[in-house]
Amino acid sequence: MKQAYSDLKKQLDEIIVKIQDPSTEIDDALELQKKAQEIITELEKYLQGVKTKLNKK
Amino acid sequence: MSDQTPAFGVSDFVAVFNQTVSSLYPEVLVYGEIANFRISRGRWVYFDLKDEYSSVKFFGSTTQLPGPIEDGMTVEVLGSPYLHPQYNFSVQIKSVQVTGEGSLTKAFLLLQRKLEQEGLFDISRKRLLPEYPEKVGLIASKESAGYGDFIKIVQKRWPMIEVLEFDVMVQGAEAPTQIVKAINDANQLTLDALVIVRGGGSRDDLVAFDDERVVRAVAGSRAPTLIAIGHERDVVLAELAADVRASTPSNAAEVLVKDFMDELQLLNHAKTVLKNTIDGFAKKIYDDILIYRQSLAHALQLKLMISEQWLSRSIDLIKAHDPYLPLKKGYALAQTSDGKTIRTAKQAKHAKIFDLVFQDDTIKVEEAK
Repeated sequence: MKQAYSDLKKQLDEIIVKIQDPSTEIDDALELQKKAQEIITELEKYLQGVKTKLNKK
Repeated sequence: MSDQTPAFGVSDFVAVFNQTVSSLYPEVLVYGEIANFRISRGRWVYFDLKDEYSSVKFFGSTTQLPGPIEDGMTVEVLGSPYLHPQYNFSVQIKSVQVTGEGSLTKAFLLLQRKLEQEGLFDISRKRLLPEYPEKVGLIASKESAGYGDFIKIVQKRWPMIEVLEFDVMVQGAEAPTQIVKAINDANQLTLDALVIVRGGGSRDDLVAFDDERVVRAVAGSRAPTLIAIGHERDVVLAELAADVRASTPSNAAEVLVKDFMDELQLLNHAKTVLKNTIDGFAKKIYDDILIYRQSLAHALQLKLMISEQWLSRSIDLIKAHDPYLPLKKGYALAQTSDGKTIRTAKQAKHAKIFDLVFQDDTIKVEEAK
């Protein structure tokens, strides 16, 4: 994972706040959507890794 | 006076007299009652020995006395007869022994009182014997049963101990001298304790241990002293001066050393207690670690669950605000070729060519010419 989990989590939280804001322009909203998908993919990979480790123990 | 009567000058007479007497009676043992006892300059002793009819003068030093002497005591004196050129006839003392039960008891009590007043028997002087002595001195008669009993029991109870033996006479005229020498010899060595034993006997047999020289030597011993003389009921002055008194030689061995088997048992018990204690600690630590690991795993699981829930909510929110969502309702999104959204007709006319994005495909739109 290139960035720390806490950083990605923070970024996603910020995207969600912005995307919910009615004043956010659509183009920005589209960019934010795209970025959000990338972050979600990273986060899902990370949490799956944690799950696997826990289940091994 | 006949021609055969020897004639001498005074000095010659004294010389011939002494020569004659010393060759006939180099030593004599004289017994009688003490009279006119006195000590001069703290060192020289003078007294008369008398009986019903006669009296003889005696002269010697205080070191030759067995203890305090006073008029009325009956004694035996070993000495050499001597006619002094100026001070007349006397017997030069070699040793004095108190005799007669009344005199012996009196002598014993006098000496006991004297030494008590000097503090030789004070409890504050008593030293403890070491708990595990490694090297001790033993003063005893090797021919005596007391010696045998002591050695046998000591070797059985604590075979690791080193016993240095000093063989002495424990009764008789020579006994006090030998015992004192043995104590002095022992004190030249480094010993953990000094043991003096003799077995039972009559009270007279034990008098060597009432001798003042012996008592002082015991009191002055560098090593702590353990003494067992006679039976339980017998108490001699040397025992009062000793650091520890035992009732018998066998008891002395039991007082001096612990029983090896008892110590081994104590050690084994201690080992068991220690092992159980360590095992108990180890188990507690193991249990604690197990609990911590379980708690940690549980906490991680919980954190994971919370993170997953958050992510799921985040995904829902992202989906709910997806700008392409209206396309599913039949709307289309107009975008320039470089992806910018066309929001007004004016922008569309200006673009001349633009993309119209439907939920299933994108088409190009051109202004009709």
